[in-house]
Amino acid sequence: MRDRLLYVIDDDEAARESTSCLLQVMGYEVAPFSSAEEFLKAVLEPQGPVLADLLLPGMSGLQLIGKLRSGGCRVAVTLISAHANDETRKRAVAAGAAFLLQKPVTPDVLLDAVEKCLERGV
Amino acid sequence: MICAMQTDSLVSLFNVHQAAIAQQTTLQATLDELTEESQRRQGEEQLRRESDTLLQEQQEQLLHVSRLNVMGEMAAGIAHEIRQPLHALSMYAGVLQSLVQTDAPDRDRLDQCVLKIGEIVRHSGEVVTGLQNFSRRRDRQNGPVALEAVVRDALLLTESEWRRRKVTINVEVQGVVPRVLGDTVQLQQVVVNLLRNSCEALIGTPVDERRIDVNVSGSDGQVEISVEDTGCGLTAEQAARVFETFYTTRDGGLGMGMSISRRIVDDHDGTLEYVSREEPGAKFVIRIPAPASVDGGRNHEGSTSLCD
Repeated sequence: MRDRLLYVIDDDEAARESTSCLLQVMGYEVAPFSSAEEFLKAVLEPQGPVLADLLLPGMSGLQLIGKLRSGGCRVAVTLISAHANDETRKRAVAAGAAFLLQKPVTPDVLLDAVEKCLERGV
Repeated sequence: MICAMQTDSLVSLFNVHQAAIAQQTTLQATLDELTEESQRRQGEEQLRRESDTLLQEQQEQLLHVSRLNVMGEMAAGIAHEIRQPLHALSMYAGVLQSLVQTDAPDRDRLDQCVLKIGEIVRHSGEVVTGLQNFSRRRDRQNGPVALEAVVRDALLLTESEWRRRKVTINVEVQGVVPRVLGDTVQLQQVVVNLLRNSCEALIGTPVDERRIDVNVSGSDGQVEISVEDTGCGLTAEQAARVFETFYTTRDGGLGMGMSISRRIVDDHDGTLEYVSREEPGAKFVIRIPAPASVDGGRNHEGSTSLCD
């Protein structure tokens, strides 16, 4: 695991860039991707927590967790969504997401979730 | 003798006078009849005008209600469209807060951040303006309309729908697209209906095959917009009934969208047709006359690709 490395996956350019920008300014190393497929292709063994949008084109955030877990990867995945509701919350918990955050997320909430994921270490 | 002659003349003069009076009376009666007829006709004309105005008002009301229905159905998506930029703004607020707390703030990063915030706010403003225009109750306008702009705005309005369903949209504007005469919002309503129907038809299609091609072209004094999808298409029965009022294949659908769309296009002296495709999917084509008097034609060559 790398100390402060985070993966940000979001197909919305503004969301991806702004989240990456905040995390970089706060001293994290960020690797941004616009789809789960792109992330899986580029990163064979994730070295830090993942922040993924729930509703990505192609593979969804939930499917990404399934894919990572089936490959034995226990890395913490926080899902962020503009469509969060009780149903998606249940599915996120069942899939093993660390957090499900509803957009818009405040910087404090995001940074808190990131720190907790890093503390967990996996 | 003279006296007898004078009497005769007087008699004949009297007769002539009487005949003139009779004629005048007849004429007056005819004139009265004509006036009455004219007033009756004016009354009828006024009634017809009032009834036309009423009909027009009712049609505009119907179109407005239909747009509000579309807005209601898109409410969840619209909320998404607002949450996305708010999220980005929230992130940049965090960036600014962090930067200004440092002793020597990174000037370039600050500038970049402010620039991004401006872009996001501008885009959100456009979305909100589009929604406001679309939902407002308004009288029918009859001015020059740029149909490629109508398509662009319809794509912006339905962005949440096609993004949520992971649909790739490809827009091509070919050649010179002359302006047509009509009502921008009503024509937008037609394109929005077609795009939403296509998104709906693509639900059962594998994600990487979900595509909508929108083509705008102008030729021979008319503009053509085609909306073609790779969805489930229409059965023969559906194709025959697609423009019927209250005919719907969608759960909870009102069956108003396509019949209203056709009426709008008819009102623009155009046509809206379903064209069957050899491969799976549906294609709808709008053709609207573009008289040279509207404008001399403008050059809008090139193609745009969205959501690739």
